[in-house]
Amino acid sequence: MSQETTGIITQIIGSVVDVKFPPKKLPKILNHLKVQLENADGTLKNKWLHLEVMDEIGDYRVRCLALGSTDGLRRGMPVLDTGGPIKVPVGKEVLGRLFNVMGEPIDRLGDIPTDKKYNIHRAPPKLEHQIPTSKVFPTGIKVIDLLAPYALGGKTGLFGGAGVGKTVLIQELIRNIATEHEGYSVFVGAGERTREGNELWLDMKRSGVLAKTALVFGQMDEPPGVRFRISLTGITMAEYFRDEEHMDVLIFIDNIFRFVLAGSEVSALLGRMPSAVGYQPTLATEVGKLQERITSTLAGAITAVEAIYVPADDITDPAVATTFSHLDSTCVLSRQIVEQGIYPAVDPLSSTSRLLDPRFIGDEHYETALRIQEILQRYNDLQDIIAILGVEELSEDDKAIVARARRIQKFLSQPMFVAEQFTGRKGKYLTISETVAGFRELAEGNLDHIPEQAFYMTGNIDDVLENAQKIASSNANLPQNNNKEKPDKNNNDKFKTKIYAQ
Amino acid sequence: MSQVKQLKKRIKVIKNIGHITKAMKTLASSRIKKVEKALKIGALYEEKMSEVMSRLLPAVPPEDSPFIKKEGEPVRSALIILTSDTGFCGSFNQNIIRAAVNFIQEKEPHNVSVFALGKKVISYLRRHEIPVEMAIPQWKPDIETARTIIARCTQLMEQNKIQQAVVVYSRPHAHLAAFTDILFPFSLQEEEEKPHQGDFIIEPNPRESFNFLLPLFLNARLLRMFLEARNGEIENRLRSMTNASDNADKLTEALTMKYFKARQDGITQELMEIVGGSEAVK
Repeated sequence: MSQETTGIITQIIGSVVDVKFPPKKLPKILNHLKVQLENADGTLKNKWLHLEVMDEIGDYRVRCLALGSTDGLRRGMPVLDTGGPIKVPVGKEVLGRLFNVMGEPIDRLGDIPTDKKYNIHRAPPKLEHQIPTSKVFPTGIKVIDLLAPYALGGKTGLFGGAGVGKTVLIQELIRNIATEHEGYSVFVGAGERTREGNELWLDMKRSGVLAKTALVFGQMDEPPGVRFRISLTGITMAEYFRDEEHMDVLIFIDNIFRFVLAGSEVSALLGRMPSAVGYQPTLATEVGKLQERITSTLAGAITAVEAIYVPADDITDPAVATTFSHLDSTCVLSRQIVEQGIYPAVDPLSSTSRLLDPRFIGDEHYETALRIQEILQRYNDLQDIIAILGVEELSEDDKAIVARARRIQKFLSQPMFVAEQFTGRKGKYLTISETVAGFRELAEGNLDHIPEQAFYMTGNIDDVLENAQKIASSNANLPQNNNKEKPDKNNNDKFKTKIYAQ
Repeated sequence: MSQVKQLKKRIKVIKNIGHITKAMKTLASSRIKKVEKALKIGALYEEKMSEVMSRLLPAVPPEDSPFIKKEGEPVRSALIILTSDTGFCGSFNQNIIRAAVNFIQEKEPHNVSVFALGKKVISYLRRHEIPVEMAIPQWKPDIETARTIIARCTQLMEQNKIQQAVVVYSRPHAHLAAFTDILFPFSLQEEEEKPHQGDFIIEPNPRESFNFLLPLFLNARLLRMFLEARNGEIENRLRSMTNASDNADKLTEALTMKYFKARQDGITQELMEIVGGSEAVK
C-alpha cells in the first residue's frame, strides 16, 4: 500500500495505545503503525515510536502495543499506518551486527546495506515440509550429552530458577557449539541483563564467532512490547538462512520466559481476562506460534537452545509447562544441586530428551544413562531414611549405591570454559564416547575405591584417576611414619578399601 | 498443587517411619531393665570365679596348661565377634565389625578362626568371603551358647590350631567403642594383682583344681561378655531410636510447615484468580 492512512491517538494506557482511523481505512491486525515523537516545544523529532495493532475495539478504533516507551505521547497525535507488519532485514548482511526489535542496528556501525526484509509474523512451516530429528548434537558437556542429548535441528530448553546458571550454561554452549559450528548462529537476548549482552558481543568479537552470528537484543530495560516481539525478530533472521540459503542455523534465546512475561504484562492492558496464575488466556497460542516456527524443514535445520526462567522454582508454572511440551530435550537446572556446589547444576532426574532412545544413541549409551538414573533415583528415595536413621542402618547394597550415587553426582560437575576466570579451572570438552565410557565405569562400580573428591570438577576418567593419585600422595605424606613397619602396605590397603568401600 | 500432594505423601511416609522407631524405642527401654539385671548377676559370678582362679594361677606352672600365657606372641587366634541380629541400633554393629576386621588384617586372615555371632557379622563376612569357623545367627546370651563356643575353642587349642581367643564386643555405657579383649590365655601379671592372702589348702591339688575349674570359669567369663554385649546393643538401640524419632519429628514438623505454605499459596492463588476474573467480567 503506497498511500499511508493516518489516524489519531485516542487513549494511552502504559504500553497500550488506542488509535482512531477514518471509516473503512482501519489497519489490519498486526500491522505496523508509527508515530513521530515531539520535542517539548511541539516541534517534531526525528524519532518514531512503533506500534503494532493487536485488536479492533469498535468505533473505528484499534488497540495497539507500543514497541518502545510511550513517554511523551499525547492524545490527538497523528499515527501513520505503514500498511503491513513489522519487517526486519535478513540475509548475510545481518551477520556480525547487533539489532533491536525493529531490525535497526544498534552497534553504531551504520545502516544495513540490504533491501531484503522479512515480515516478523510468518507462518510456521507446513507439516509436510518438516523433518523429524534423530541425530545427536554433541555439546561437550557430560551431563547433557549423557542424560539429555541435544538433537540436531531440535529444540532444547534450559529450565532454571533465578541464579542457577542458565546464562552461564547457554554461554558455554555457544562457546562449545557455535565456535565449532560451520553454519550461522543467531543470538536473541530477551529481557535479560544488558550487561550480559554487551559481554557476549565483546567475547564473540574476540573469538571471531561474531562474523557468522547475528545478535538481537531486547533486554530488561525495554518496555514489554519489545520483549514480546524480540524473539520473533531473531527467529525471522534464522528462518531466512534456513529457507533461502538452505543452511543449518543455530539459535540461542535467553530468555524465552520473558516473552511470556511480557505478554502477560500487556494482556490485562489489552483487556483480556487473566487466566491460571495470572497469565494471559492466550498463553498456549502465543507460545505455540513462536515455538512452531523453530523447526527443521527439508530446506535446512534450526537448532534452538532456549533458556527458560522458572518462577519460584516451580516447574509446574503454566508458562514453563506450556513451553515444556514443545521441546525435544529438556535440561532442568536445580537449586538443590547448586547448593551442593555442582556446576552445571543440571538435575539428572528431571532432565530428559526425546533422543534418549537406543535407536538414536545406541544401546551402550542408553543403558549407561538408564543405569545412572536408576542409581541416582535410588539414592533420592533413600534420602529420607538417611535423614532419620543415618547411613548406618542401610543394607550393604544400599550403602554401595549411596556411595556410587555420591560419586556420580560429583562426576556430573564439569569445569566450564566461560567460567574459567571465576573458578580458576580450565574448561573441559568431552566427546560423547568419553562421557559414556566414564559413566559406565562408575555405574559398574569399578571406581568405588576412588575417593569422592577426586570426581569433583573433572573432565574424563583420566582426570579422575590423576586427581585420585594426587589425593593419595598428599595423604600418604602425613601418616607415613606409622606405617613403616608394614612392608605389604599396598596389599593391606587393597583389602581395606574392599571392605570399607561403603 | 502437585507439590502439595507430594509433600502430603512424604509427610505420611516419614510419620510411618517415626512410628516404627518409636515402637523400637519403647521396646528397647522395656528390655534394658531385664538385661541389666542379668548382667549384674552374671558379673558377680564371674568376679568370684576370677578371684578363685587368680589364687590358683600362681600355683600352677605355666607349662602345665595351654591356657596360661607363655613367652612370645601367640600366632593363631580364635576371634569371637558379638553383633546383633537386627539393625536399628546405630553404628553398633559397624564399630564391632570394623574392630574385628582390623584385627583380622593385623593377624593375617589365615591365622584367625572366626566365631561369628549375630546375623549382621555373618552376612558381612559372607559378603566379603572371609571364612568362618562357627556361625551362630540369632544367638542368645546364655550359658549354652558360651559352652558350645568354649568347647570348640578348647578343641582347637588342643589341636594347637589356636593359641589365644579374643572377643570383640561392646560394653554398656561405652558410647561408640568396640572392645577387643583376650579371653585366654591368662597372663600371670594380670591376675597377680592380689598377692597371696594367707595360705589356702587346695584340694586335691592346684593343677587338678585349675583344670576342673577352667571350663567353668571360661564359660562364666564369656557369658559375662555376652551379657555386656547384649546390654550395649540394647542401650545403643535405645539411643539411636530416640535420635531417629526426634529426627522424624523434626522432619515432619518442617515438612508440615512447607505443606501448609504450599497449600496456602494455592488458596491465595485461586482467590486472586477468582477476584481477577470477576473484575474482568464486570
